[in-house]
Amino acid sequence: MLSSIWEQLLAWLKSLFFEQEMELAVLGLQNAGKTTLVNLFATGTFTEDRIPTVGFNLRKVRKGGVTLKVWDLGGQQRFRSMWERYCRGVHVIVFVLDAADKDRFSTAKLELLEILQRPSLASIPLLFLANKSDLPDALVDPQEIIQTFDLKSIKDREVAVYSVSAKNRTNIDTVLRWLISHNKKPTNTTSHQVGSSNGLV
Amino acid sequence: MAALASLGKDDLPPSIKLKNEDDLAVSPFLGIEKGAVLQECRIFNDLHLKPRKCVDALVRLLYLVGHGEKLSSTEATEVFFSITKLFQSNEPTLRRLVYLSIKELAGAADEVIIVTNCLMKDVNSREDMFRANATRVLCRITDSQMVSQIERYLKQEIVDRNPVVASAALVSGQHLLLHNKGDVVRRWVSEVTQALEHPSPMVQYHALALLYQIRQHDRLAVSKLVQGLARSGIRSAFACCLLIRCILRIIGETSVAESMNEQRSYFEFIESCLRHPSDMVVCEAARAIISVPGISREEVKKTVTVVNSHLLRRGSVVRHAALRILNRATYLYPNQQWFDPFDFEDFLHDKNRAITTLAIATVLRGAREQTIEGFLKKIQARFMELPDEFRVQIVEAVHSLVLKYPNSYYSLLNFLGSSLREEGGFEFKKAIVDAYFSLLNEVPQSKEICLSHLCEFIEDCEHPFLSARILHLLGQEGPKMPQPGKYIRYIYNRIILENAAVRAAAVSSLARFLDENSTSQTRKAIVVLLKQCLYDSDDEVRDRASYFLHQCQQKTLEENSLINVDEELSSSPTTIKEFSHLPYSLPELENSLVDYLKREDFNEEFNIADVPKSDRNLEVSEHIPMERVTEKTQEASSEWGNVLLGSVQGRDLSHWQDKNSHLLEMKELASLGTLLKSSPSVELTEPETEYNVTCLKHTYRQHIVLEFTIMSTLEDQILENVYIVADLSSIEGLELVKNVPISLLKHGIPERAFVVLKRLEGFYPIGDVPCEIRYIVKEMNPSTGEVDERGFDEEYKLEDLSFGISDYMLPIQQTNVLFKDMWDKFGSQNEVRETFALSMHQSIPSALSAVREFLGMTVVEGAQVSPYATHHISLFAGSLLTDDDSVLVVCYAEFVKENQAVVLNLTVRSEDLNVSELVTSAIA
Repeated sequence: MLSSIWEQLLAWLKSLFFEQEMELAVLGLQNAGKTTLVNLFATGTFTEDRIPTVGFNLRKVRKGGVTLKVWDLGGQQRFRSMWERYCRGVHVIVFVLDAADKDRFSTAKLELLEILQRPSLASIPLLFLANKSDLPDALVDPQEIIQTFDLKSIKDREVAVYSVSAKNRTNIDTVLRWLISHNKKPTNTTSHQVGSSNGLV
Repeated sequence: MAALASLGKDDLPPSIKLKNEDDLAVSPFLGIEKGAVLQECRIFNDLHLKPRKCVDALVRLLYLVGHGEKLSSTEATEVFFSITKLFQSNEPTLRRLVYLSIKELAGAADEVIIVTNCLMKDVNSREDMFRANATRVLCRITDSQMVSQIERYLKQEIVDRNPVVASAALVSGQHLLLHNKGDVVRRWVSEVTQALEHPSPMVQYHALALLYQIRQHDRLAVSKLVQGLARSGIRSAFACCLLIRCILRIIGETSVAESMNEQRSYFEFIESCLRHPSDMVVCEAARAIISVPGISREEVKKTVTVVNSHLLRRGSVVRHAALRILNRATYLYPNQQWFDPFDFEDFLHDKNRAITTLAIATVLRGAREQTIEGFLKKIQARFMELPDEFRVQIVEAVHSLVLKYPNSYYSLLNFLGSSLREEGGFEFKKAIVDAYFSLLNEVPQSKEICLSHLCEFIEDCEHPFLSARILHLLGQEGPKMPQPGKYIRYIYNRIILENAAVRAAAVSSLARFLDENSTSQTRKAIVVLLKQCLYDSDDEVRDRASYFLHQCQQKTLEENSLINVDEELSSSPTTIKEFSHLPYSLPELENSLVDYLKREDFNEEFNIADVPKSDRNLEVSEHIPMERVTEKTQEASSEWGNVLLGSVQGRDLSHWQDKNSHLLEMKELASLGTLLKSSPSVELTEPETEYNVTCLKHTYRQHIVLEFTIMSTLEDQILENVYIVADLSSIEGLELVKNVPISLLKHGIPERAFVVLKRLEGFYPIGDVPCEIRYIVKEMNPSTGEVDERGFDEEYKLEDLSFGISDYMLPIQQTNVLFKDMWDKFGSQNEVRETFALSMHQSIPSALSAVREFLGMTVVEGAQVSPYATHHISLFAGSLLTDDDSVLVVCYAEFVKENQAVVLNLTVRSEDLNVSELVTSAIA
């Protein structure tokens, strides 16, 4: 009892002096569900927001003693050139994909490769989220996703792939845990983690 | 040591020292640089934001941009994107600065649309400050596509209860309209009309402004809006002012006849505003009333009274506004006198100098003519204390006053003149000089005073620009003034005293005095002055001087009266001209002097009496034609005839000397006495014929010697015993005395034959004499030179030789009598008048030279005449051979356009009526 109080007190003191903060950039094509996902992280509730983000949103999310500063970037064509400015110096780049919109997979792939090849963003870990796994024709198999988007070819950084559904909250907690574990600036070790609905593969 | 040092430091209380340093640092922004500030802005990208530091950096950035520092597109975009990261902080101060910075950078940076979402979030926040500011920024960064997305927020805000938010939305609507982004705004009429009812006056004002802007092209809607508001009354003073302006615009747009009633109601509203508690509204109403086109004078007067009595007692700002209205009234109704200048005396000592100036300018514009002088005296002292920019305004007012009351120019120019003498900067002096320049043209009677003031001014002017302008003006106007000499003195002073630019201007100005109207004396003086400028240290001055000297020389050459500048320049300064008054022949004088020097016997004085005296006129023409010019009009005066008869010019006797020598060879001619005159040679054969014959007539007192020069062009013959036969039967009063033949005339060698004729007493034979050559011709072989001795008689007809009055006319003997005196002495009893039309001559100069040739007389005045002249007077003088009969002729020539002919009116006077008739008949 006493020890647990002490522990809590210590944790509180620790959080006072060494508050952990991490920055995320959330990007992806329009209507991938970025803003909805970020809202879910922040509030824990799913709200269907149909207004496209003009520019960017900034959300601060406190999770497990870590403050997540989330740059939720607009996915429309005209904003994609500006993604890079908000990805600089973040801890993790989160790429959100509409797993049901197979027509635009190739566009999404191009945009992803385009942003990853920027020298200023080298070695920043990538979290690849295939959203809307609840939809019937969604691509949910992680291996298939890795293949479709040729994620194995990304060698210089850590890459994690999860199939998620904001609506059904599938895998959301796993993703958050993964994020919080990356609150240190990336080291140069490169590894591939592939997550599925069942966790890491 | 160290302890001591630290002790010393401690003695100084650091706080005091710091304070002093703070005092010294006037501005916290002193010496900040763009590069450093942009560098500082990088902290916005930091993971852990320090709002305090960011605020500092933004303030510095805004300071730079506000002071006109230009950021390149890249720089602006870079710093803009780092600023967008500051949205993560909710610190109100920082957020406010972010709003401001985005507004400032919106023009320069790219992709500013990126902050749309953040701003929309702020627009929907609960903080009213955020909402209002975000709205304003949002409208600035948005584009026409985005407007529809934000429209609904704006519409909500317009009807918001918070006045700040509502105003922000209304003003943003205006902004959108102005920048052509806001067609949606036109659909907001109902919301804006609702905002018009808002309890806050500010919202009412902004709503009215936006509503008017939406509807300004719909006249009917506007007048409905205005009428409604005018009836229901308006709380906001600003809105009231705006309403007055709208009404003024409506009145300006409608024609008077169209809507008298409507206008009446508008006008009543404006008039009621004259009693509004707010001074601002009263000012606006007064200003509107006086600007209504076609308003009655009564109304204006009433308004001016309100302004006068009510407003002029208020604070500085209102006073200034009121004075501006009065000033405008004096502009719009320049011929009304609204007020007495003495009402304004208080203002002359107002501590606000702008008010003083405006008051003075207003009084000057609106005052009565009689009071001006007194008023000017009164303000003179105060005027001098004012700074230049205010004085410039007053000078302009004085200027327009002179134009209004040209008769008071004297006192006004005195005011300007004394201002010109005062201390003052360039703008001030320039304003005065400008005023003078314009008055000179607008008020001709002031010309002389203006010029003299300006002359005085350049004597002590620190501004080369103004000096140069004034010098140019003097060059333009000076020569036309009655006493050009006065200005020449001022101009020349500048040449001595000023810098190169002014000197060059002065040289040009000086040269302007060399025009046609200047007297020879003036010309001479200017040429001397210009010559001095040839030694100036500055290239430009020298160039100009030599250019104008050259031009002057060209001109005089054209006029056939030379001032040989080149010669004068190259020769010693004592030019030959200066000796022209000596009664000696210069070559003779020179010879005598050279002889004297050669003899080297200087014990004996040089005896000038030994030098032969010259016949002045001949001597002059023989040697230096240019002397004629300088002798020409020694004392020219405006009246004709005040000219010495000895002022000879234009007698071309260049042929005289060499022919003379041939005459002297003829021993036979010695008995005839002195040669009085020789004519120019006359061709008696066509060119390209067998023989070329020319003839010279030499006139002696009793005789005429004809000198024929004959040349044969035929190679294969020689002529012997060549003599001239003149048939004198057709002419009265001549007898043949002697014939001197040519014994042998070979091919190509000219020889001379002479005929000596005697002139019978009292006759001046005039007419044509037929002539022919008679000779014995012998064949010759041109190659061997062998001559066939069998010659035969032959004769060859020449053209008629004509005798005219010019053969008997000599230069006048009494050279030092004025033409006018002698003319009066002869009187009208011996006067003959005759009018001729010379249809052969198309211009006066050619007619005049024909007359001169005919008469052989000297032109004493009026020799120069422009080919385009339409009338001209010349004076001729001469004397006939025997009797020393002087003959004077006044020749008035007029060019008659219709007939394309010159009509001459000759008036001849002499001592003998016969002589006068003889002269006139010569032309007939």
